[in-house]
Amino acid sequence: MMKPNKIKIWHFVLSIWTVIVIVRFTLLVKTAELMWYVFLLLFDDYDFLLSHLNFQMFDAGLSLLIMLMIPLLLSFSKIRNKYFNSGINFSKCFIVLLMYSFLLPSLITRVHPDLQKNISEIKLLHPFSIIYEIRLKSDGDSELKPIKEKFLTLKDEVILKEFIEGKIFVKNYTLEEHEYKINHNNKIILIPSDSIELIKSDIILFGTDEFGRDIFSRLIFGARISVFIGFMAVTISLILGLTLGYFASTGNPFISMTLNRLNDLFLSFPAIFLVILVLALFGNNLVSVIIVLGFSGWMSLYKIVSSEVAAIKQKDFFIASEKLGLNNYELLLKEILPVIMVPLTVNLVFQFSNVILVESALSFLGLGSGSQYPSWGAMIEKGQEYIYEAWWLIFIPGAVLVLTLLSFHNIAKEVNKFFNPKIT
Amino acid sequence: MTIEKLYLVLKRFLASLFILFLIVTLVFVLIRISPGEPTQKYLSPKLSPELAKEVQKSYNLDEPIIVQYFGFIRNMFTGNFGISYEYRMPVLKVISQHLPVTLTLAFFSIIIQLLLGYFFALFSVKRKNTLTDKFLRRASVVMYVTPGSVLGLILIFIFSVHFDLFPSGGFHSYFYDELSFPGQIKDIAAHLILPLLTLSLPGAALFFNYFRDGIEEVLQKDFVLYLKANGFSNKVIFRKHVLPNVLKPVLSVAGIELGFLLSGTLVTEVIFSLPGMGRLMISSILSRDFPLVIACAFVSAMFIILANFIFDIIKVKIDRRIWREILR
Repeated sequence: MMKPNKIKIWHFVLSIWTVIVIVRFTLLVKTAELMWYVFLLLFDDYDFLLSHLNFQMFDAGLSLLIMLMIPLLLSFSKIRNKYFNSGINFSKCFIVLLMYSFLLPSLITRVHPDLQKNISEIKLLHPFSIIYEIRLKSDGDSELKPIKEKFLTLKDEVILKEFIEGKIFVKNYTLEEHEYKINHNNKIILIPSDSIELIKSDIILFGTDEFGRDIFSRLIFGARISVFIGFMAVTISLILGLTLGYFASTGNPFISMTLNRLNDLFLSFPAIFLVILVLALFGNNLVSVIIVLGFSGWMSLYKIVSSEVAAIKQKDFFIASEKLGLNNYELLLKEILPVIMVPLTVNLVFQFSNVILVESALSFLGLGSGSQYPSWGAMIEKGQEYIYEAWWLIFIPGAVLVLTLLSFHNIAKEVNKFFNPKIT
Repeated sequence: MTIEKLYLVLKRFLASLFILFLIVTLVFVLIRISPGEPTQKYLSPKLSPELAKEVQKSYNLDEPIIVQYFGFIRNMFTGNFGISYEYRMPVLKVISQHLPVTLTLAFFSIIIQLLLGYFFALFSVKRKNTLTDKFLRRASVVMYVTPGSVLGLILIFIFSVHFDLFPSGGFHSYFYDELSFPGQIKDIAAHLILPLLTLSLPGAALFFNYFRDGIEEVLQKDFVLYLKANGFSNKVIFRKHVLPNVLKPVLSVAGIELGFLLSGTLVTEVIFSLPGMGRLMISSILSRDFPLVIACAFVSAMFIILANFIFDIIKVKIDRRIWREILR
């Protein structure tokens, strides 16, 4: 007999939340302040605000909101007991961490994924290497109104930047008679010590890549892209599979036969070939990758839905509710969906991990969502070039990818077991 | 019964032909509605429009799509897939140059997968619920979910970068022609070990799970107990009565697996830079070599259907009662 697990999943969620709050407390306060200034500027100078609003601002506000919502949601015992009350294990913990990095990447890492820190010095550093950040003094004399000035400084502090002007990152430096000697872009330059605000050391957790970008930060932001693509593609295949399967089981024999033939056609052909064909011919970007992956995954869902619906139609409860006079819409929503939800959920989780796998393969082949987003597959592909110098370029994204797929696989198995206890 | 069997096989053959025809049509339509013109690459903007028209005519691209399509189908039935834009020779010849690599890989890989899965499963079942068994089951799940790109690069890192045992890419060395025959075999074998491992380990983990669960389940059945009580030796029971029952689901999975292996294993071939069908497909798509793309699609779909059919026939041989369901 297994001992029931005392630690529940919501304990883990809450503890991660606490850690984030402790580590990023000042940042959260600043974000709240920034949001207050946005609110003030809304009435004060609308055009100025509009020129500064972007996705990252929205993201910062949203992450603050999510941070406030998490304990609030967990305090409702109904939600807590329904979704977060199962015992903890490794896969679930990993999924929770993945969801955190999907929702709040800018709170977990404070380095922009595309920030190139002084390429000549900081490229291909191994994990746990130490660098120094030299912050130069800036002469900030602006003639804006105080409220706008405050807004801009807060925005600078809250939002991650691709390029930082007043900071120089170096591996080491020497001090010679009030002048710091550093290597910047392959040139030795001297900086007088009175123009430096502070020097602090920094640890690079997972090393840097060939452009001096932080791998940890790219992994966290890459998780966001992977999970986003997974969710969207699975939603598209779910909608497609549901509607087509429903049509095949209700409509006339001609439609169902055509759909079955189409299903056979797609199954007797490697889906990745079609995906690559479409992406190469029509161009690859985030939207097209999502749509193509969504369309390439409807077959198994269609099979499940059409066979299950056909079976349900023979059942007494369905015939009874049909005779009671429910219309088609109500029949689908109230009688069919709850029954087919079980096999669908299991399939969807498998589908989700499959989409992440195919997406990484696509990025590996250079047909992913494009170079403007960090992606795990693309990181592994880059690592192939530097396999002799930098093992961490392959192993770290590879390990994260394998752990993600493993966790989803285990979760799907668990869901299956939960719904069909007879299966061992 | 034989006539009915033949009828079913014929019916399946016709259905497969229909599916192949549909696939070719689908790929043709997709290619022709896509933006971009394949002749653009070979034309300088300085050339006169008449000359550009001429080049298009030489590629048969000046006619309306319907006419092109029917011409293409007519040629296809005579076994003529056209001439590759990139290689400037018949498409089937290009494919036949790339096919041996894929065929070798697929053949050896499916054998390795089945054997590895089978023997590890036996090993594991004998030590049921021990530490080894638990470790093997955990490891098989990890192995199964590992994507080919990660596994291949890790193998390259360990065996070619770190220990320098095997070459990291290519089908044979550049001094291949100077070697004696056994040397040539050895050379190819050394080049194929890492790709074969990359292709086989996830599949072997899958078959391990199927074999292990199957053997464990069948051994608990009542008929095994009955046979034991009647004094049959364990060997006979296992070989004649347990194994055929276990093999049924394994063989259906093996058919699908072999189909995917034969249709070209894209990522593995790209990592190890092997000149196989997968890389040919990708390069033909990226260079818009349309006759080659269609022919590749045709050949890989044919192989998938064929592989499924072969394993179905093996299944019929093992369990003669259910041939009607299988062949349908």
